[in-house]
Amino acid sequence: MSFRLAKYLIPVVLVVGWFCFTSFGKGVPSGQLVLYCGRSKALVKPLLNQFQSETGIRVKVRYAKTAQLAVALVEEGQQSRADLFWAQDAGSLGVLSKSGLLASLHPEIVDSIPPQFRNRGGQWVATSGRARVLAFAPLRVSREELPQRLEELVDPKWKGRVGWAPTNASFQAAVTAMRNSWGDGRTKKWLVAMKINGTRNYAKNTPILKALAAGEIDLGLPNHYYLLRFKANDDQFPVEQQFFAPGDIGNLVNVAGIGVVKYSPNQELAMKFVHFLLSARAQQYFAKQVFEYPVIDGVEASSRLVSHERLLELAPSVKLDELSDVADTIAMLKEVGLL
Amino acid sequence: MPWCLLVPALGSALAVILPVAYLVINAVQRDPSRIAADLFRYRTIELLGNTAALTFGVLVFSSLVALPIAYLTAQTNLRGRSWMALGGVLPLTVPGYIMAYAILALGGYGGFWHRLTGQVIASPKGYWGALLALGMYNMPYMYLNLRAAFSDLDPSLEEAGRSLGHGRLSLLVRVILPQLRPALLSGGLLISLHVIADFGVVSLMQFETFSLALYSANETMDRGAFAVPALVLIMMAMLILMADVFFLRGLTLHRVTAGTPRKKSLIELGSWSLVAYLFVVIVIMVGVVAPAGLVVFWFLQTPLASVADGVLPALARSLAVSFPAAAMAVALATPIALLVKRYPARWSAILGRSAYIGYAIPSLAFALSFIFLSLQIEQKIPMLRGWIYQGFVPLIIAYSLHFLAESIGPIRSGLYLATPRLEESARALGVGSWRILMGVTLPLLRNSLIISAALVFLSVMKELPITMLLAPLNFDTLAVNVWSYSEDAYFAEAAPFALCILLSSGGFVWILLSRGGQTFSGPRKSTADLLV
Repeated sequence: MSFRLAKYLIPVVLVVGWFCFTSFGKGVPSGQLVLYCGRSKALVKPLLNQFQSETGIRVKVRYAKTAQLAVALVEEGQQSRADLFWAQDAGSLGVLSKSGLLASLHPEIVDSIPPQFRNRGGQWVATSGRARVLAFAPLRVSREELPQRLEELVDPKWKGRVGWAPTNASFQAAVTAMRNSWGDGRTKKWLVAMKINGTRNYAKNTPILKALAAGEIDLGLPNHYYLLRFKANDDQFPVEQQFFAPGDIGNLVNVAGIGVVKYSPNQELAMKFVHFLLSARAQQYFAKQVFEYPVIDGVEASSRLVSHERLLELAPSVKLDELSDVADTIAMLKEVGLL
Repeated sequence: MPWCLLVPALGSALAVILPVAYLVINAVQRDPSRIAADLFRYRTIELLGNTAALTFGVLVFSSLVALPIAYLTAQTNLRGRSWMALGGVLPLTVPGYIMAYAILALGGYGGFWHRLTGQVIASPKGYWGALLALGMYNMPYMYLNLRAAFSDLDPSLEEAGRSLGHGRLSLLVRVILPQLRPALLSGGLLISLHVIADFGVVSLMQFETFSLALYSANETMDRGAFAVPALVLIMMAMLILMADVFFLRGLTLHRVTAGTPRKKSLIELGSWSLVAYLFVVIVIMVGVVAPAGLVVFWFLQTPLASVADGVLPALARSLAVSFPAAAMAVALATPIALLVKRYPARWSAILGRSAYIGYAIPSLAFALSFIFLSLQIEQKIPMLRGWIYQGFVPLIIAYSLHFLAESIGPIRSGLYLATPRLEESARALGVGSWRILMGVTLPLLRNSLIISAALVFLSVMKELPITMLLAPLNFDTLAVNVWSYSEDAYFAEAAPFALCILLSSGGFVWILLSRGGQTFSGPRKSTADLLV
């Protein structure tokens, strides 16, 4: 242990010391917001920069998985330092709203978007729509052959040819929607039939698309935007997607959404942020750059998306609040041996 | 009994047990009939069986890969040994899920083979895919432990064996391998704890293990539901720990007579060199080149928006937590390892195993219990408000407690081979226990201490759940960035951060190896040239 070691240690000690110093005894100063964010940084960061340059309000972010942040928020309770929770799906927002951790949003925010894109009590709103679709490999299945209803996927014709992602929150939300629309008995029967039909389990949406491209499966049940992002990089990517018949439960439009934490001392600033996300400009960003569905009408969207009216026509009538019953869905998935 | 060892050891053991208490409290509040419904079903047996099969497979695979590399780099005079040593360690710099992506990207549409030949082939998946990814990724734990043990081997035993007429193979099996037992067990212990808790890799490989139960319980966002599978995992870890105790019982490997081991002569491989090179090249191709190649491939794609401005701050944050966490983990692990080895008794054995519990607690559960504890402290002592929860120092403590197990292994292996005679003579000469520790024991262990710090450093560079929940706000490390971008398939954005993890961790390993010079990649010379 000599001078030569010290040479390396001194910069390390300085950097560490700086972090210790800056993180000590410092709450979040007013005029700043704390966002717990379950959405990918790629989607969020450009918007935050824009918000900051427009309003001068700095947003500090904690990025983690939506479910982890929801559990952390419950654990924190009144002591939470978060002002906002931006979640990947409606289910986790529902859980927080049931635990009484979300504040009521300003009426003008709530009224600015259609009722199917917000919580009944006005405690959270959707920021963008994420539709479930039927993805297929056009090399092996023609568009005409595609099933028009989710239920038709149990046809022996599709044996071993379908892929889904039982551990994925979006898939679980879709099952929750089925339970609400079909009832538990019918949903369970469908799940079992699908399993017997040799449906393959994947970790999440992107592996489903890759498996379609690699010829492992011919049909898949992902969210709509992953394929569009793949195609933006490689328009030869050999997978296509399509909605089921209008109103079919397979077309569930789940959302990413945001709520204000009840114990936040910065309610007004937080509302401003929510308002910003629902502005035409932010919505256009979702629709054009990251291929998600805008939640307000009249937004210029990517040509790869269907129109706002068409989407509302295709979507089954499922209340987003009903998607919060994740626990029973997981219990059912366990019962049928998918989890 | 030296207090300077006992107090820190007991402190860290206690701190590691607290999260278990948190889990137990959450679990008992849950309705017992629901716990029973969750656990007592055929599916549980199936998942546990898969976990056991995978753990066994990964242990065998990583030993079979690590042992030859450790042997080649430590016992032979093969050229390019230091590069081989690098190949044995570098897979550790790759985050597990990136290793899985890389192995998956060997086949499939747009994968390596497809781009090379235009043909789409299947990727390794399922049990064998998970085995390959986890085995590759965990192999360095085995390698580093074996490597340290090899370089500390006392050549006099081999010489005695040779003089009794044993050939090279017979020496390896009957003399060398038995001496490597603590190293094999230390490495194996870490690897098994890793495998039973892994979800990222196995889910991408479509192989279902018991961690699935933990993951899906977390999706319910119910702490009680989460605590039960977490406790089951901890119990599995305890079984593994008990097996470890059983295999190490009464083992003495250090030199018992007077004198110092002399330098050993290196083995000339001759015509076997070619086979050796081929083997190492294959390992490096799969374990290092494939993941690095994938990240470079991502890097060459166009991102949605440039992320370049975020890379350096993220690197600074990663380093700012990794260095102190590594130092602290070693500081906490040393007293425990010393107590276990130098004061063998039932209580010290229990103390030693408790360090591994921190590692066996799923990191999300670990983070949640830290949230609970630090908020409790802030509530009880208002003066500390804003200092404990999601503060920088508590984050370092959380890392060092969680990764305590990684740092304890190499020290323990080192102690098996460091003779206590020197300490005893110092004591006989009236030197105090603190001075013996600093002046005799630690210098003897220097090699092991450095490896143990390196292991923790590399782990913290990749760590996710603890960082995500316990780091100060806006404190996105490299790993958090990689995850947050790649999770939504923004691989081009994730690439610079992933590349930065690989380069900085790789650079760190390289500095260690090159400064260690012969100490790491050749015969044991003076350990002193490591840090001077």
